[in-house]
Amino acid sequence: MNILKAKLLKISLKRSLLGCLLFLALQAFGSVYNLNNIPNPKIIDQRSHVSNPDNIISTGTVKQLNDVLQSLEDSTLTEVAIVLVESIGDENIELFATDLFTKWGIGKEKDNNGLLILFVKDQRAIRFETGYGIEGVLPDALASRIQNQSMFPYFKTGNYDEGFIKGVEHVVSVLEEEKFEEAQKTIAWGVVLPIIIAIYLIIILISFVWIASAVKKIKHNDLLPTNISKYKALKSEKKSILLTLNIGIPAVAFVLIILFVENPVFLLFLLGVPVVTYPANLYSKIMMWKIRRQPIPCNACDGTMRILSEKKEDEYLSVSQQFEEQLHAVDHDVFVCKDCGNQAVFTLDKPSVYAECPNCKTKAFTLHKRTVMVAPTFIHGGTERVTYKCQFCGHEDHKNNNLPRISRGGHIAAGSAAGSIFSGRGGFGSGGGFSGGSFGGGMSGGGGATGRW
Amino acid sequence: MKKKTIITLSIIAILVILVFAAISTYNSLVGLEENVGKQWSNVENQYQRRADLIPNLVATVKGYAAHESTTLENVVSARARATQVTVDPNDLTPEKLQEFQAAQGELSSALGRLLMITENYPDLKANENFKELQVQLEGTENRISTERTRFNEVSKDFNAKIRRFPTNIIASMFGFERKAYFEAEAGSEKAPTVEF
Repeated sequence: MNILKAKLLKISLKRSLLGCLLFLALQAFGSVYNLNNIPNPKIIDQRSHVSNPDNIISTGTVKQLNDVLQSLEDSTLTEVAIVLVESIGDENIELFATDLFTKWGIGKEKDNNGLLILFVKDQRAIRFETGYGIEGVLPDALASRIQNQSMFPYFKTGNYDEGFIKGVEHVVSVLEEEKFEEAQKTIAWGVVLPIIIAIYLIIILISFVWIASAVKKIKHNDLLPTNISKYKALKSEKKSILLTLNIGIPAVAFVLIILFVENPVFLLFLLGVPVVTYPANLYSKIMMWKIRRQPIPCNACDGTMRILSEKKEDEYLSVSQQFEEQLHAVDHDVFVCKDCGNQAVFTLDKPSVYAECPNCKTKAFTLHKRTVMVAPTFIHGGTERVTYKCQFCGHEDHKNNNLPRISRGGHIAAGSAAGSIFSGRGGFGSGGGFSGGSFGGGMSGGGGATGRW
Repeated sequence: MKKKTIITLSIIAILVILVFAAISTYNSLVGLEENVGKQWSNVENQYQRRADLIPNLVATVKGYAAHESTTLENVVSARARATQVTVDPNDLTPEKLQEFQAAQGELSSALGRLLMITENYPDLKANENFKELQVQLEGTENRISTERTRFNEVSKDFNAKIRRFPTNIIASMFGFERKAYFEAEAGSEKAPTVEF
């Protein structure tokens, strides 16, 4: 944490140093400013509002104005920028103010609630440039009245500090009457949505093409002799294809969105990827089922063998095979040739808690019970006896397992390790508060008032 | 068989991309055209705002300079003509815009003459109401020039976009047409100066 702070301090020091250098350079070249070299107060400090490169008012006044304007922004979201320069050359103050306002984007983008106060000493002119959203609460006539009543009496005697303090006070009292609300950024859905739908359609297409090519490859693969082996091959192929699509595409898209798109809403579209690959998933399931049930050539005559339904197949299966099917431990597919009566049984292992019984070879051997023989203590390990039993023939088998010693506080170490991993993530927080910012992106319509004294 | 399916599928994929790219382009063109229309109504609003100020201004001036009736009448009649010329944002042809600009330009010069003669009436110039009207008029002229500049910008953006390949194909397919610009006319691009 301290290192982070020190780094930030360094950056801000560098920034202000750069600001100082810029400032000195400007001083050396004389003080005719254009749109590009007027220092933007928000870039140096997010909470600053006054750009006073020629020191027309004192630093104390600048600080006071910054405080007043920041509390105005905090309470109403209205952004006010004050610029005081010696000269802008022969530029028209109104056009200059409008352009500077647009360039800096004073005020929030949604409400255009910005105000630019531009003071040009050699033209003896001040302009209040009001954003669209401010025109109602601060109409031109009122702006002009503020200039005439609160500022010019002081300006005429050369007391710019007092003029600005009184004038800004007056302005703030007017602007305080209207509060604005935080805006949500809008997205051009009309343009974005077709692109997203197109991407989804392409993902659907890719998933189908990929699965179809896998089906074709496996269907005609002579290295996989039986339907069951083809079924298994397709199953694992399907799994890896869908995993690649469902994890790979969102992962790549996630990185791209984080890098290039500001709005995190687009991350929601990643959830759509597994949905759009679902049709291909369904298609591959159907193909798996079909491949498993496709007729096979008879190895006894020239005829073909066809699969029997679950009901009919029972008469061709032994009691132990039927028992296995009842336990859902194994699937037996029975193929029979119509011409010669030749029959074949194919077996598909299903994931289950059963193992093959060493006695009767039925897949019905499972954990029966655990008994603790010697209980473990803090000093010594224990022993337990595990009994396996065949559900079909009743054959039993025993095994002795060692039990570990009981330990104290073992979990704490693991917990703190996990904790440190999670707390480590905090470092990447949004650094927005520290880095120099800008105004909110507001626009003015050229409104406002210019006064000369 | 296999090659054929791959070719058909890739053709379908390309078509899908093309169709959706076209939809996206079309939507962005609609958005840009809407911007032009919106900006046009901003321009008209500001001209309307100026027209709304005039009766008040004329009434104030009349109180101090009643015998300048020709100048005052000129302003009133120019205002009446100018408010009659409106342009539908969907029909922003150069001719229509020219007509609009001519009518508003006439009003601008009539206003300029009126403000010139007010120089001769110190009492009028000291009137608070007149001062505020002047500030408002000045602000409105400034707004008009800002909105006109912005209108030209969005209009140019739109025109550039519909001429560029491949957007021009979509644009001609759906009948998007070029928008007119304001042209700087001698005398009318500069707002009448209002002196204090």
